[in-house]
Amino acid sequence: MNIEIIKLILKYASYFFVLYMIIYSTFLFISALIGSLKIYKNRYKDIMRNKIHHDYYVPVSIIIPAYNEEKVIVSSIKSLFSLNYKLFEIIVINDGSTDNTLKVIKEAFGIVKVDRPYKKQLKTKKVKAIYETKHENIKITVIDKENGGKADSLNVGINMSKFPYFLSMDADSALQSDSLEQMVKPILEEENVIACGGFVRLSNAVVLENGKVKSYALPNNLLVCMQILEYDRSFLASRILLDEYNGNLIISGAFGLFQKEIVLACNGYEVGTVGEDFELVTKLHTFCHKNKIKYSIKYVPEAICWTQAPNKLSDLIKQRKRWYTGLVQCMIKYKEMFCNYHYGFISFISYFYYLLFELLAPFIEVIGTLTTILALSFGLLNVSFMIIFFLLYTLFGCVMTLTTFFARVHLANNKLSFIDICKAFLVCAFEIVVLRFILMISRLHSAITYKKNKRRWDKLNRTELKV
Amino acid sequence: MNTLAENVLYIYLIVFASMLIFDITCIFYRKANAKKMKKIENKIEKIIDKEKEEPTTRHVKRLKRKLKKTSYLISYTNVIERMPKEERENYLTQLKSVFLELTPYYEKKEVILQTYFVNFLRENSYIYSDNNNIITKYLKDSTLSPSIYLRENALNALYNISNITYLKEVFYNMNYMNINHNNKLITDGLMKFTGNENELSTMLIQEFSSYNENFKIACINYFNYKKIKCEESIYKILKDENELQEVRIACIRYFGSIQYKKAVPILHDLLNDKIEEYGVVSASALRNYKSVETTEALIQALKSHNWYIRNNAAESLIKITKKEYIQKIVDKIDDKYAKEALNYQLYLNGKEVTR
Repeated sequence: MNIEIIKLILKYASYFFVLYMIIYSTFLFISALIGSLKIYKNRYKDIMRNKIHHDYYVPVSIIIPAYNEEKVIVSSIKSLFSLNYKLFEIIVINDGSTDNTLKVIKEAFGIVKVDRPYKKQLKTKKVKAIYETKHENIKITVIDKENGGKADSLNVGINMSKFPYFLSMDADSALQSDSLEQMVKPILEEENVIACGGFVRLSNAVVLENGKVKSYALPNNLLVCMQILEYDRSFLASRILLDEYNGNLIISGAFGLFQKEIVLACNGYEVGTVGEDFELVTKLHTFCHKNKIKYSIKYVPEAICWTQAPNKLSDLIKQRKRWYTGLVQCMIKYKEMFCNYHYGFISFISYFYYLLFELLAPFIEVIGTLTTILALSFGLLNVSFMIIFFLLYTLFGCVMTLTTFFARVHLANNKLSFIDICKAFLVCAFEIVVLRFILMISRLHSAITYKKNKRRWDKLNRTELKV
Repeated sequence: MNTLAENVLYIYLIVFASMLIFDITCIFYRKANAKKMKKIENKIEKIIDKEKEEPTTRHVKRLKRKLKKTSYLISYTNVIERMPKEERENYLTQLKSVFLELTPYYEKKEVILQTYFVNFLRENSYIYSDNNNIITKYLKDSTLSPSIYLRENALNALYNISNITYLKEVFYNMNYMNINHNNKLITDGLMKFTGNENELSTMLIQEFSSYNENFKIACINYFNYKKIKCEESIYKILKDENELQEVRIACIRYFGSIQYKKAVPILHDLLNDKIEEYGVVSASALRNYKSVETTEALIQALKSHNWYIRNNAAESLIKITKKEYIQKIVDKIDDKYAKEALNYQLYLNGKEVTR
């Protein structure tokens, strides 16, 4: 009798898992297909000079929060002087660093302390001092404040900014010379654009010269290589699909442009969360829906920001645990989006995707593994089918990853050596099996320790930026 | 169920494998194609070199046929762009018949291709500068396209020939059809107008009331940047309380750079208007009107609860008042925030923080 019940449970469990994988694969399939087509169309538009070239642009305040970033902050600021787009100010927030972040900025740019009044529109930790200078005719403001986290630093930056749009970027990132120009385009082309997200790529593979790619090669570090493939897949596929119906719930904190007015209306970044970028975009969606504001959040794959990937396993796990915690916080906070027809596709595709394939994924994966073991021990597993299905799924994942990787290489006009092509083929299987396993474990651990670590922000090791 | 799952994955795999093969083929094809394109360009260059003085009928016929191919048009454009300006002008002016024939052909093509063709025309406006031909009609029609790129290229092509009648017609149609075109792009385009600016301004003022918000703002910004003297007209717009807020703000900005004494009382009033945006911009515009009354109004504005009004008033005061007097105001004023704003402006004024 008991065996019969177990058999029945396992039978339905197998249906559930197969269905889950079909839905997931279908989502990936459609997103990669639409992503590639969109990118091809954009490239074709570019060749056919379907562009806007104008002198009068929207002025932008670039906000860089920095906590113990002495190794990278100067390179990061310097990378901004190579931007083609010259209408911007730079605001660096030293978030109570315990290293020499402030000192290296002082030495590099000769900033001067000023008594500048500012409008405290968002509540933040105490500002200790404000420094200013001009470099290559671009105003640099450095704020020295008490430690309050990334969201708090960004809020200080918003308070200090004088332009109607602000761009948040990470201190370990560098912008490609045409990135800001590309990022601002949707604002000129369309009405009601309140935010734009760019394509974040990993700087570990690139050498930049004057904001342009000098050379591009896959690094020897397997962990970084796997992340490169993963980033390309995620930014080229799902984000473009979600963008088709204004459904992106995240704009990476490393590179996002926002309309200041609407962010202020939403009370800026949420200080109590570790996924402030996810939280802000989701908040903008709900705010605009509730207030019946026409809005558009765009994803601009042509705007490229280069950021560092963790090159140590421990750092990667820390980073992914934080991302997962941020996701959980945000999904719980905006649970009203779940199956809410007012939000349309945002609820039934975007929220559902993050819930089912990101938030619940580690649990489903663990239950799946346990069910498989159970089925095997009861002799209920169709081993040959299981092996074929697993291999097929892995192959599918590999081919999809390679498709998005080569689509990106082809479209970004990056030159790849034969060795790099071979590396990509070899690494993609590792990415499916190894990286995803690591992610599963770290997300699971993050879920288990959620209560304990929900405000924890582990600092990652930085290496110098090659700009 | 299992078979279904397997089949679905097989189908997806086949599609992705095809895409992957396509991408890799593209990478190699692009390398090969670059060489091929270079060869074609060299060939075109040689032909043009022979024909540039006086194109033969054969060359004209050949171009009429060949330029219908996208790849040839791209290569041809690349070669043309490398030619010295005068040579290019002399050569293309003699080829008007080619482009007159190509226009109806490209008019029926997809928008992306049309945009490329219009971009070519825009960069070589002497092809259609004699007006009233098929090309100008096509350009006018293209300004109503849903594609911003085509619209913008067509508008730029029309700015290049500086024909006011065309612009009047095009702007009227765009407004009538409710085409939303960013005001920054319109202002930028108007700035490129090389004809008689006074005639253009007169036309824009005459047509002003029929324009939508974007066009109205763009026109005022154009008058502002070009320092066009049409103060009375702008004053009337500013005075009209039923006018759109952003349009009135553009008017205030205009008076911030073009002095018009008659506007001062209204700027003073707007400093304390319940719509604070007016106050913010007026506080800034008043730096253009040095007088005791303005100084008094700005000192009052320093105590405004609005941070931006306070800050702009401080900036303006520094510009129109002697430093010693500012110091007196700082000493006298009992408002902490006003003091802070003035002190910062004094600092900036006394010591430029430039490295």
